[in-house]
Amino acid sequence: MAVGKKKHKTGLGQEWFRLRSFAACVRKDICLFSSAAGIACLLLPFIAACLLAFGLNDALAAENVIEPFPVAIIDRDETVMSRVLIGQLRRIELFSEIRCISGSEFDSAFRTAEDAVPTVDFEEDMLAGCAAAVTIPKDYFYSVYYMDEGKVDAWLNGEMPLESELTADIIESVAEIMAGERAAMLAAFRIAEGDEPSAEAVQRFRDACADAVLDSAMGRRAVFKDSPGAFGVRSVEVIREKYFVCAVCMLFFSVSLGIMKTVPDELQMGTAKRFICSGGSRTAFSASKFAAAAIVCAVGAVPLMLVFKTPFSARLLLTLLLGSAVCAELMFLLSLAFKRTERFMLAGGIVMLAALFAGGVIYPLNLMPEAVQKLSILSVARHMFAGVVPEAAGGGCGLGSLAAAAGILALLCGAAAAALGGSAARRHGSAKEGA
Amino acid sequence: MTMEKEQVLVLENITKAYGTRFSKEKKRVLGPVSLCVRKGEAVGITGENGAGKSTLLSVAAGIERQDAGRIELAPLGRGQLGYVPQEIALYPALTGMQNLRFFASAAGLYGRRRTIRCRYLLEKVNLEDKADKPVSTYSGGMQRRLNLACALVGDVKLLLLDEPTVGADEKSTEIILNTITALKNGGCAVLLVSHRSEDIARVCDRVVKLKNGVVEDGSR
Repeated sequence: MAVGKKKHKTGLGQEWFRLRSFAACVRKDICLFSSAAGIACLLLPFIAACLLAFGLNDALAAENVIEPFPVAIIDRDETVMSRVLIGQLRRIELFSEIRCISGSEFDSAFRTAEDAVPTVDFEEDMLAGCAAAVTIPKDYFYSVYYMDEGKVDAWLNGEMPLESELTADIIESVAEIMAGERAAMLAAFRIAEGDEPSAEAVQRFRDACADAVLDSAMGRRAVFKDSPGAFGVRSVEVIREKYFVCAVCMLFFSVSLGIMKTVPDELQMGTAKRFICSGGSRTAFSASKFAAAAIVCAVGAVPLMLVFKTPFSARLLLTLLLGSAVCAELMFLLSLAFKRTERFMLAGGIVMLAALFAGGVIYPLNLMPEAVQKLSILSVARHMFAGVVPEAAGGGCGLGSLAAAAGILALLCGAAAAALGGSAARRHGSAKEGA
Repeated sequence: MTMEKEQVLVLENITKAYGTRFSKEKKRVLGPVSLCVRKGEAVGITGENGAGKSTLLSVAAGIERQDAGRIELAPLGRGQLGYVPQEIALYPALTGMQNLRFFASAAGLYGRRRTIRCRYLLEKVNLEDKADKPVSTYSGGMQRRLNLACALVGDVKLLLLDEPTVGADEKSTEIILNTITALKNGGCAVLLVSHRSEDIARVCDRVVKLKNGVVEDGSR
């Protein structure tokens, strides 16, 4: 019996063949992509990006969008509590700067009474660019302790109407909250202690409630924390990055759709089997699609970065690499589930739209139904946005999630690709026995 | 059955059954079938629709694995096994030359050698003037010719063909059959599946007729 011996070159020769086989497959995939439909896949996100970037310029104009702005605090109380309050105000994202001015500094800047028009020097030096100047009056926290009404004055900058109005709204809201809580606590105290409470009971009440009102006032920082969202304010940079992510996701999904759309036909027509039967590498046949997708995505991503003026960084590069890998892997797995290209394209389009909407890069996520918000954790767009602008994405996702998803999907793709082309073609003279 | 010196392909008691995804029962479509193909010999497989002809060829090509039985192949290098499927296994968006170059790379051909070989094959199947046109613009017969050419990119020693002339015009059929005959005369072993008796009679030295998955008549 003639037993076949391997004729293939081993070692470097085999590796060189695999590399050339891989290169031939990549060339084939890019050629197949470079049809009219493929160019449309590449141009569509770019056109959408240009529309987003230029057509929405008005929406990004200064009168409609607020950048974080400085606020001045004139501290006449000058106590530990007032300094703690100022410290907490500094943490609010809406305020780019808290300019703290002591009462004595302020008084020295005025020639006559404190409510006189400040000197030009004072305005230019101390209040320049501030949307408002809020005065914490002397003994303010003393009055809070004794449950008296403490008034806070605010000077608003007429040249910054939106910002000063916003600041005034915030102050009024907090003051109203404090007044309401004070009234509720007093009412509860009177019900509990009657109309003539003892001095000890009053002392205990003041100690407990002052702390509670102060905690509440300082805890209202949660209002400030969400003020960008609560008042519909968005940083221009965050909006731009969000639209960049939207356009890039559209690009990655479109390109992956365009590259992987050949898979159903290749399996049905038998070109995959023919390639493997002729001696080609099954791994090269599958891996080439991801390489082709990566090349085309890279070509398309560069002009998008220029349009949106996205600064290049290692984090951005990693996010884009992982994002494109996840999109390609998703589309590859989807392509194996359909026998017809048209159905795959339809399903792929639905997946792309779902990822974009659930990712919150077209409409704000907090405007979506709760179910969509929960499902957004599965959206690659959301994780890409978190990777590009982590501080605006609310945390909990980003590069780590993208890397994990890419890894898991890669394993699934590897397992699926191993089954491509049926059982291994017999190329050597060894006998094979069935089950 | 042991492999003799001139034998290129030996199939011994090959059996294959298919079942549905949710059913444990499988329907036997092939077997047991035994046959061999020698060097410079063309064996034809004929039979009615559903007789198991294409299944036998797929198993011989290694595309599907048999449930039972033994397959022995003579030592074959990369690209020395040529397979012509019943479907037109080509990329319609690519040109004839691009298709040939792609499959030639699978056979281990590159550079100038690949170009020369592809041009030679295009001349052989009379498609040299359509080399740079997309396959989608070819007629059915032209696509069949190119389908055959793509299986011959390597130095083929064993050629498996599944209905190579279905849908082809007279001229294309003539070219395809002449090419197969020339290969056989050059020492290539040929296993041809066809329901066209005239093709079988013209090319094949032996005929194996399948009925319900088993050999009805023919020599082994």
